[in-house]
Amino acid sequence: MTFLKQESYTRNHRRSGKHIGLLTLSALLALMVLLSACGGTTNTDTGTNSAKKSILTVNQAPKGDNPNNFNPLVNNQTSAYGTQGFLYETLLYTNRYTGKPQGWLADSWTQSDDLKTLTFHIRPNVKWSDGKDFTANDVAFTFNELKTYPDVDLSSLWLNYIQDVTATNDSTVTFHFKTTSTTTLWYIGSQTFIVPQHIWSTISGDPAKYTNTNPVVTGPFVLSKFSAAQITYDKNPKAWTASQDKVDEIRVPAIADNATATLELAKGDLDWLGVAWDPKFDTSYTKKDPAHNHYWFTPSNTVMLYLNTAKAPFNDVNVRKAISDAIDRQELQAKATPYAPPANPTGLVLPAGKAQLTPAYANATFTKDTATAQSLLAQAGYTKGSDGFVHDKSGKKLSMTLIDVTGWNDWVSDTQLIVADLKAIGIDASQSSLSQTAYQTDLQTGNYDAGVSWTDSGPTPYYAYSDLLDSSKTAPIGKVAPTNWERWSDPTTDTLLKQYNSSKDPAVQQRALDGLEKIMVEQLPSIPLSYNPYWYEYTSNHFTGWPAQDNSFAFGYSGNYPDDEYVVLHLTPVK
Amino acid sequence: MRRMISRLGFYVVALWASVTLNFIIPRLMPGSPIEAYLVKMQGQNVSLHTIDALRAQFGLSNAPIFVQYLQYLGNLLHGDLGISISNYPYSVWEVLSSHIPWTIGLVGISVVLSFAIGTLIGIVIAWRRGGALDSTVPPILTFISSIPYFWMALALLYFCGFLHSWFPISGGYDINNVDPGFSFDFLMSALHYGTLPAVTIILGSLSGWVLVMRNTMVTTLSEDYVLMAQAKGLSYRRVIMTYAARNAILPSITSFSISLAQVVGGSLLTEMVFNYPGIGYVFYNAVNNLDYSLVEGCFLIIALAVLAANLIADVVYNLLDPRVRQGEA
Repeated sequence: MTFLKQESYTRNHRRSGKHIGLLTLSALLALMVLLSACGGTTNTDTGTNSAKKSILTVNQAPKGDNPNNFNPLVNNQTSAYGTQGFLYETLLYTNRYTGKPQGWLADSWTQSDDLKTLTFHIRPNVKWSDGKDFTANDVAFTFNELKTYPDVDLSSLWLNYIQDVTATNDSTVTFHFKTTSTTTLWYIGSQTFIVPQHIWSTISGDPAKYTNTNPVVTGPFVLSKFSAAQITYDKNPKAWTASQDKVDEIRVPAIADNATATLELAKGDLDWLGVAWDPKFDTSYTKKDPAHNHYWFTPSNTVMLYLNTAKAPFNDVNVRKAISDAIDRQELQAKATPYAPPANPTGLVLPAGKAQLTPAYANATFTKDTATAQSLLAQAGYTKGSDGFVHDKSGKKLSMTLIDVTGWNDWVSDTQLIVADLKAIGIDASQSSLSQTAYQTDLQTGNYDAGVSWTDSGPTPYYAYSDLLDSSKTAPIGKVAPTNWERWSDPTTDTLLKQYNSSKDPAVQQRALDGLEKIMVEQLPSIPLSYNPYWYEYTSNHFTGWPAQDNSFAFGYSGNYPDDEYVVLHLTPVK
Repeated sequence: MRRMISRLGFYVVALWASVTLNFIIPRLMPGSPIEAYLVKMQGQNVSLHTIDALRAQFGLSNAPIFVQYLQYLGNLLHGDLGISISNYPYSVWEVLSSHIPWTIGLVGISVVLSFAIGTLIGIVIAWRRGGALDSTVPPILTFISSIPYFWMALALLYFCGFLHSWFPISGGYDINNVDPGFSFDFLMSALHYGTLPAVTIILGSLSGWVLVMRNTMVTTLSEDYVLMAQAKGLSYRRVIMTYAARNAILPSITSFSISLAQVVGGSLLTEMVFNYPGIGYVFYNAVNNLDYSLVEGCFLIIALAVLAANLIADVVYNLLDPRVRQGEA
């Protein structure tokens, strides 16, 4: 009864309802119009007041807000992008692509034959951006800061190498070393960024906590404006590189997500980017404007399948060989990592390491060979059981878990394919995807069977081999191994590494590398899979002169420091 | 009054419990902030001493967990949330205060608008139930909100931002031409940049408000007191708003207060798709980097907001529903 009456009541007064509905709709419409109209006024193009200025917009890799920290002594993951390179510079520039060092803030250097003394001759007429002269005293001061505050000595220079450092006069600085090492030239010359003594000597306490928001620099750029959303650097007219520098302004917008970054790149809002690429981006990027939108992916380091050689059965070289032979690396590239070609069995990064490749391995490749893999397992004492898996003499099934990181999709797919390959030769393999910190912890502490991961890089193959194979960089299971996660501990390997590191003679060094390559191929301390590319995307809308296949003067990757500075100094604005 | 005091006591206990959970949960995650940092440093040459140097830089404590807990409680009482490792050397408070205004501005306004618009639509279509609007609006809205949010957001971004440039594709304001601050230009720019993200949030959540409001409204409209109000000859507006809607809105108020509390947690997907400088991405990064202090700070803000929203809902219920007031007396 009530309901019926109510119903007729509404029907009779339909007009009133319509009125409210229309009111809501029109209010909504008015709001939208207002919002878009307001927006229109501020939507001015970036180019209007900068017609004459050449502006480079770069985002290294999306990770959210820009930090308000321009301290070059802390790691580049803590300081803002550009601090190392655009602002602060090193004594030498070592081109990672060619491996060749060249003078930078120092215009020349001499190394004693026993590698125990290193002298830098400072480039004349270099000025800090506040007009003061750059001298050898700034260099000595910087290195002594690392001594006073070990927490900024991230390469452990004082602990491992440096005996003392002195500025003999304004233009000469001399290092004496406790040990002989070829790596000092790289860490001291090319990876330590020099700060001005007249500013940094006045800060109190630990320089690691200094955010240096008003940086005084030698580099080609000075900080012009900071906001968490965008950093602006202006050309430094006092820089010694000023005559080479044709970029007037660099903008570093903060971006949180790869998808947004690639859209901005395709739209022309970004010139230079370093994100992991997916072929499906091509439709809106390289295929949209092939004349201007480019990428160039070059191998940066070898991706390994790490096997925990500190425990059985991975301490058995036949098992390691069987695992390696079972893997179809062509399939990994085709199905999981399209920009990562299969690795050379020596683990050398090619083509950059071509000169160091032993002639015997010049044409070496990995091929999938299930039959050999199975016979290697038989040699190792495994027999196939009725369950389809191989068992050792005590009857225990050969099983292993491969770890990877949730969300690192290329390696997750790699791992899936490897698991299938291993099952095909009778190994009971399984996959476990972890958070990135759990994965890192497990690799470091040896709490794993196998896992796909990166290797370190440097200007010569020695750095990768040393971090991968040196027994001083590993630890027993349960203890933290900084880089030698497969826990390879072999006196011959250590001797070869030492032989390389303590000699200035390229022939002696090459003999050591030959030995190391042989160990990699014959003993497989860890299993090379493919090459991790340097992600490098760029557009020639605003600048030309980028590193490219036909202009390969350096890696184009924006996340190598100070190589980013070197690349920027080669750019020419489009008229 | 006694009820209010006992409620307040409950809030204090709830706050302590959430603060304690804030402390425990991040530390239960595997790994430590150093491992998270090393993952970001991948490819750089790392030695054991590098790890020690980083520990020293970040000032990570080796004290027993219980001592750390007491230090944490003590610091909280002094309003000190600690240093954020992923934004080193900035304090958690600096990080939070630079992002929360963006989130409250965008998500807060969107939630209020969505609630207001949704509830109004709900009232209108319930009043005219069975009509053309009633049979078209709810299915359309349900369809829109069942599209996965990130897909809808990306599609709108691609169409309105990338293909047609009606709206900017990323950011919270025009970083090249305006400076943040209380200027007209900045506010207009923020409004322009916030429109598209706001529209996606509203589209994604509208149908919930409409359906809840419509359904309770339909039940309420069949009550005798609504009929009585009509019989007295009251104006339609008064019947709809004061008699029907006021009673029907109670369930919506509860979920509205919860939604408001969730605002400070940020809207991660919105922020990632539109590159919006809110708190959600900071929170996500903090968890990924095991930045204990920042995770604790974010959780604390969320806990405080939930408790505050509950308190407000309690008060609003008191005002809207006489039965609650009578129960108190």
